Amino acid sequence: MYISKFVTPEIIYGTGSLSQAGECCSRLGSSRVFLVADPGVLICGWVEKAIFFLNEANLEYRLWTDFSANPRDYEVEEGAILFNDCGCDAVLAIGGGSAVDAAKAVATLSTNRGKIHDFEGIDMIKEPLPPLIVIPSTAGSGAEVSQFAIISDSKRKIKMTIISKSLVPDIAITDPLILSTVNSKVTAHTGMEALSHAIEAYLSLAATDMTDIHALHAIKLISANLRSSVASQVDEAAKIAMSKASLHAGIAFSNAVLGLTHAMTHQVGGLLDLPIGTINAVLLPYVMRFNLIACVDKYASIAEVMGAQTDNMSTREKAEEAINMVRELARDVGIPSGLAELGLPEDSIPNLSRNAINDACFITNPRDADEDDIINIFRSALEAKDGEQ
Amino acid sequence: MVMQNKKELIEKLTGVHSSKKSYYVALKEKINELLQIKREWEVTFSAVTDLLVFINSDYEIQRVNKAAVDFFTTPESDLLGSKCYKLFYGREEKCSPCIGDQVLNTQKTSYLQSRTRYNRVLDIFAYPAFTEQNKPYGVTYYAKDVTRLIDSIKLASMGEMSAGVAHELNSPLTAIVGNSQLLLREASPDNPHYQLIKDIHTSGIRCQRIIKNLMTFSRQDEFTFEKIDLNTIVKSGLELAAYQIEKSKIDLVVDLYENVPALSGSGNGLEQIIVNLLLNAKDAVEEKMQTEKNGEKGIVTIKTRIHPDNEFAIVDVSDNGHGIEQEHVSQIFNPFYTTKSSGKGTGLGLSVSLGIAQAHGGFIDLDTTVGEGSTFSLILPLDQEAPVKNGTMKMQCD
Repeated sequence: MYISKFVTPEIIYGTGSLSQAGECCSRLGSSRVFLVADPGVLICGWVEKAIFFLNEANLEYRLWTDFSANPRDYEVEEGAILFNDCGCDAVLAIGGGSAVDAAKAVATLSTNRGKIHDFEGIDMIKEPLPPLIVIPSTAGSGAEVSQFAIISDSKRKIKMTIISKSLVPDIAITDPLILSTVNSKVTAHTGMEALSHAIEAYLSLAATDMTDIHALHAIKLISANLRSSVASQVDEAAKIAMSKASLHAGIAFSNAVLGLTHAMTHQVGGLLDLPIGTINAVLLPYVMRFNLIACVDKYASIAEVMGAQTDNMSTREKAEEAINMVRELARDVGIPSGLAELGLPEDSIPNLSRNAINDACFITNPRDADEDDIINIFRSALEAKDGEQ
Repeated sequence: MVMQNKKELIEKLTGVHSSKKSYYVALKEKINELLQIKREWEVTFSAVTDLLVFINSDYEIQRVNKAAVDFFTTPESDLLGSKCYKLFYGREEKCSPCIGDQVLNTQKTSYLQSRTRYNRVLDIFAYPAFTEQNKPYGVTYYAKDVTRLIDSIKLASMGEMSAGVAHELNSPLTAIVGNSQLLLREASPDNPHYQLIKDIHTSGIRCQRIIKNLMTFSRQDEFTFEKIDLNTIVKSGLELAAYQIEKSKIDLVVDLYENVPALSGSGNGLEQIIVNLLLNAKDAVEEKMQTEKNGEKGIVTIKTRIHPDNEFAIVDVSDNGHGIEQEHVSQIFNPFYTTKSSGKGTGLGLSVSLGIAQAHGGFIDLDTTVGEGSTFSLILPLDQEAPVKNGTMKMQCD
C-alpha cells in the first residue's frame, strides 16, 4: 500500500458558469488578467463573453493567442515575457488542453527564472505561481484539474512533461455550454482522450479508492454519451455528460497519474503534430491488450461500467470484452485503427520506444515493460494488428 | 530494492511529499528583504545631517529625513502630506517661480539659495525624479542650512564697517568728553549751565561705551576679568537706562538681593547686558502701550537673586509687554534677528549679550508668555575659577 494524496482545485461547475470568470480572478486578487485563449474558442465568441465578465468585474486584461495547438517552448517563453511586461497578476485560460498547458507554462515562467526545460520532470517548480483560473472548452484534457503541463521541445522534437502541485489551477470553471460549440472531430478525439485518461488512471499503480470512483464514473459517462455527443452538436444532455466525464477523468488521472499509453503518445506527439486525443485513442486498445494480465479484475469492472452484457462470462472474458468495447467506441467516433494511418514512419519506432521508457507516465503503468515490449506494441499499433501478445 | 524504488518513484510522481508552493512563504521572504532595504535606506538618510525632503508632483511632502524633522521641529506625521511651499516658506500659494516645476520641466538638477521660515538661509538642491515610463514623479530636495555661514559673512563685513566708524568717532568723542570734563571741573554746580555740561559729559561717555560695544562686536574684544559686585554693576546699568525707562512713563521696580557674593567677570561686559535687557524690556512695554492705549501700566522689574543651590547669581529683567511668539523664541539670540521696526533695533543686542554671558560661563534664559510679558534672566556661575584664563576671556559671537 502506497501513501497517497488527492488534490483538486476549487471546481465551479454548471451551465452558464463562465459568468464566474471575472469574479474568480478578482477574488484571487487580480487586477490585470493574462487571458490565454485558443484560436478556436476565439472564433466561437467565448473569449468575447469572458472579456465581458472581466470588464464587469472591473478587470483589465491582455489577450494572448500566440501559441500552437501543441504549445512550443519558445512560444510560452515569449508569453511569460509579455505577462510580465504587461504587469499582469493572474492567468485565465479558456480553451482546450493546449491553451491550458500554455497558460500553466506561462504562469510557471512568470515567477520562476529560467527556460521551460528547467522545469521538466517532477516537482521542479520552486517559486509560487500567480493565480491560475482555467475554463476548459473541450472535454478531454483534464488539464483544468491536473498537475501536468505538456510543452513541445522544439529542438529535441519531444514533448516535455512538467509535473508539479503548483500546476494544479486555483479554480476550474466547467461550463457545458462552451463544450457544445466544438466540431464533431474535436468532440471525438477529446472524448477519447478523456476515456484514455480515465482507463489509465484506473489501471495505474497509484490509483486509490478516491481516484477509482472518479475514473469509473468517467468511463461510464463516456461510454454512454460519446457517440451521441459526436453525432450531434446540439445534444445538450450528451454534452453535459461529457463535460462531467472530462472533469472526473481529470480528477482521477491528475491524482493517480497515467500509464504506458500516454508515455507512448507523448513520443508520437513530439514527432507528429496531431491532437493527443487521436494518438491516445489509437494506442489505447494495444496497450490495454499488453497490460491485461496485470489487472484482469479491473478490466472486468471497466467492461461492466461500459454496459457490456457479461452475465455468463468469466472474468477473463469480461476483461477481453473491455478492450473490444474501447476499440468499438473508437471506431464508431471515427478514430483510425492504426498508427500507419496517422503517418508514423516505421523507422522512428525504436527511438520512440526508448524515450517512452523515460516518460514519467510509464512509472505508474501496471505492467513492467522493456524497450522490446514497447517496440512490439508500436509495431502492432502501426499495422493495426490486434493479436494476442 | 526494486519495490522500494518503485514505491518512492510513485510517491514522488503523485506528489505525496510536495504541495502547491505557497505565496505566504515567498511573500514573507520578500517583505523581509524589502524591510531590510528600507531600514538600510532609513539609516542612510537619517545619517545625513542636511535636510532631505521628497515631494510628489502636487508639491506634497512624501518623505523626510530626521534632519528635516528636526529643522522644522514638527513630527514627521504632520510634515507628510503638507505642501512644500507651506513647509519651507509658510506660504499658502505655490512659489513663483517654483524650483520644483523648473526641474521637472527641464529634467535637470537646480540650485537655489533662499531665506526660509525661522529666518534660516538654505542652500536648496532640487533633483527631478521620474517613473519608469519617464513621467514626472516628484522632486527630491537636498537642503543645507547655511545661515551661520551667511550671517558670519554679513557679520564680518558689518564688523569691518563698524570698526571703521568707531575709529572715526573716537577722536571727536575724546574731545567732547575731555573738554566737558574740564568745564565741569571749573564750573560751580550752581552755574545754570552746569547740568547741561554734565549731560554732555554723560552722553559723551555713553557714546564711548556704545563705540566700545561696536568694537567688542567687530573685533571680538577681549574682556578683562576682575572681582566685581553684581549689584554695583546692575546699579550702574540702571543709571544708564533708568532715565529712558522713566521718560517713557514706565514704572521701574528694582529689587536687589543684598548678599550676592563677589564674582569674577567683566564689569563693562555685564553692564552692557543689563542695559541691553532693560532697554529691550522698555521697548516691549512701550510697544504694548502703543497698541493698547488703555491697558495696564507698563512695569519693568529688575531683580538680583541667588539660585537656591548657591551655584548661580541671577539677574531677572521682567516686563509686562506682549511676550514673544514661539516662532521667534529660537531666533532672537541670532545676530541681526530683530522683531523691532527698522531703525529701532540692529538685531545685535541679544546676540552680543549672550556672547558675553557665555564668555562668563553663563547664559541667558527666557521665560515668556504671549500677552503677559517676558523675563530674561542673566545667569552667571558663582564659581568663576574655570572660565577665567590668564585674566582674559575671548568673547564669542552667536
